Amino acid sequence: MTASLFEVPNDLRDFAERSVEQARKAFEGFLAVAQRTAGVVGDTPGATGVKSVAAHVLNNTEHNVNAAFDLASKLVRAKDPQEVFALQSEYLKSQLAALQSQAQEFGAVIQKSVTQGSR
Amino acid sequence: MASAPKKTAAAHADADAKVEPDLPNEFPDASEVVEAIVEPALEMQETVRNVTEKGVVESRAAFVKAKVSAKDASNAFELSFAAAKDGVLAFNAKAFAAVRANTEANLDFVKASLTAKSVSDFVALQSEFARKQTDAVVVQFQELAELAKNTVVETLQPIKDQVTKSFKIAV
Repeated sequence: MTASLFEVPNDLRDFAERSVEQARKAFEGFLAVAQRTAGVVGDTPGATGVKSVAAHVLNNTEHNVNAAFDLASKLVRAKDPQEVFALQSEYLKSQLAALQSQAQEFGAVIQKSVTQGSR
Repeated sequence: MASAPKKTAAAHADADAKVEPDLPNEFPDASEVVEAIVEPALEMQETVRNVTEKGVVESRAAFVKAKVSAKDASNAFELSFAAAKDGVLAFNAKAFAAVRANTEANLDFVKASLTAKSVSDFVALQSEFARKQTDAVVVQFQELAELAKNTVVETLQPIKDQVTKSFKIAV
């Protein structure tokens, strides 16, 4: 019965995998653009910006690792396959949304770190 | 006279037998028996659950510890970069690499979490992900601190001290 707890319908699995791949590609594309922009803009950077960049790296990683921990805690206590399915769907949805906003925020923080010093 | 003490002794013996407290003259009712069998089974389930949860809690604690250390270390960056200019670009490039690597690891885990066959399978995947990310954060922030160190030689010492201090506690 334990195995059936994790049976994910193939359609959903395919959809989920496609979504993850899409998010991965979008994120990589975004990073490439942000990285180029940062390289062009920045030659008079400030100190506070750098600290924000470091904090951002850390906060995002923390958020993502904690989300996985939360899912683990909830799955351990899941009563039935429906609950497992609901938890996994919710996790997938919130992680894809989080990655999107993390990419946007990271771009903004990087931008700020390189323009701050020139003001 | 001779028989009187015997009778008394026998009477005493009877009285003693009646109040004998060691004899179990009451049996537990059926529901108590069932409870006695079911409870340990439930407790065992609960123990397995608790051990699993304990694992989750412990690896979470390890990650939080590493995070706190990294945060302490990043406070030292401010000192070094107050005087730096060019270093920021190198620093940002390193930060990009860290974000990229962590995001890849996260997406890999999201995918893998859908293929877990059981709760324990999932917890194993999740623990591995947490452990790798914890290690990664330590290395990433050591590298970022190293960049800061190389960029601004005059502010080397406060960073070095802070990093050494922070990661000594965490690892």
